[in-house]
Amino acid sequence: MPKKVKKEEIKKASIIKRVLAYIIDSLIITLVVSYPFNNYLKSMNITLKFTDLFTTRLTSDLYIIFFTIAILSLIYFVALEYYLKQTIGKIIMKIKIISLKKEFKISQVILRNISKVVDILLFIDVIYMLLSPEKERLFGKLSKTQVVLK
Amino acid sequence: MKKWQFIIVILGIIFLVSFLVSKTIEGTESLKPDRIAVIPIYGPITVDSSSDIFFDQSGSPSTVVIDAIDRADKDSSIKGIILEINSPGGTVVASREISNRIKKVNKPIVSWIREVGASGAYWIASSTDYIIADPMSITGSIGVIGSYLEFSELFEKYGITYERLVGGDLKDTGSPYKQLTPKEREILQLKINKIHESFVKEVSNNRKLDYDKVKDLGNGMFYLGEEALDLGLIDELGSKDEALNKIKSLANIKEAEPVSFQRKVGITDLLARLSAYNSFYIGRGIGFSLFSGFKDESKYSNILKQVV
Repeated sequence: MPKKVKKEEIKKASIIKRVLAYIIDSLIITLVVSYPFNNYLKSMNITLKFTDLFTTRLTSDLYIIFFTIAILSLIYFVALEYYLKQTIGKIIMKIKIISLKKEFKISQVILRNISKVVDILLFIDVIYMLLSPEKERLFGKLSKTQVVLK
Repeated sequence: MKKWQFIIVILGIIFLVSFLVSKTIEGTESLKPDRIAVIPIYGPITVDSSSDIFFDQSGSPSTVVIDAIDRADKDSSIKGIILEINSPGGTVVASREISNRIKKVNKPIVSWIREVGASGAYWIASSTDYIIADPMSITGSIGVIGSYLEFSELFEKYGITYERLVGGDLKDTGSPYKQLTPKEREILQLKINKIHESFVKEVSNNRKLDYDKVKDLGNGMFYLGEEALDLGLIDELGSKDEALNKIKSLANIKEAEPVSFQRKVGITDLLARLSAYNSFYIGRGIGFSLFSGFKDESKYSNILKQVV
């Protein structure tokens, strides 16, 4: 288990690195998670666009699709961050996450990533990050985790 | 387990789960809601979309319309199709292709004519199960037009001559650079009459109207929706609501969501279209007419491709 990290040892990752890592992860998720649904959504004349959420009547099958994509995306982030402290995006950007507590629990990883699969939480998270002086995400702070340079 | 092995395993599991869920949903009919496909037929009906960025790419290529009909026909959640027509017509072949595809569809199809559903567009509408049109819409116009601009005298004025080099005396029939000979005129008129006869026959069969009656109506004149109803060319006056109600009753369903089967326009399409509009308005006028005459000679030389 990791030791409690002293504040002075932490070299925080910049917003740019974190955002780029998130974009890379989003692309991978789109490819791996969303791609299998493409044919079905195409036949329904729906693309996986943010605006479709507002223009399309969400029927039972679409609920299942969006729910599956959300859960699998969460599994991607949680599994990689819990076991490797990094996602593919973070590996490429040479950053990792650390716990600010003595222990590094899976609940912390779930909490820090929950906003990535719920649009409204992601919106709140990003706004908080832009306004906060430490430039940290709200759910990163709540989970007592930090993204640092590797 | 090494880092990258672990990542690959996780991605593999995620992909597998996603794939299995997608296949399960595709195979579960009960999850799909009843839907009505709304397929637009706007603008000139052509055989294929133009790839020339200097000309307006709007319109309804038969390949695009048929593709939309195919998709709607194959999709079990689609219970009926509405053709949303707002078109002055198009080429004979394109109209016939769409009409023939419609006849093979195993689902109810209703035509809803908005402003214009004339000529080739009316040919298409006549092959559907039911036609609804706005009272003030323009329908009918059952006729064939093969007219074109002929520039020989204008060229003469500017000292431009047409050097005729042909193998086969009728090879350049319909060329805009020379006047038609009486023989050529007669041949072209015969072909136009033949297409017209075929058009009248199609409408007569599709609408189950007397051939002679359609021939009388098919003098090329357009009819307002109200007149078309009295003449039996359409079935009902109304709007999209009436079309939706009719398709629901034909498909024997109570609730259904209309879904647009419109061609998606990408950013490159928009840029090309913007460029096309700008070019058109810059070059508009006689220069444009001359240019289009030079550019697309085959358009004039093959009368069979002319608009109906």
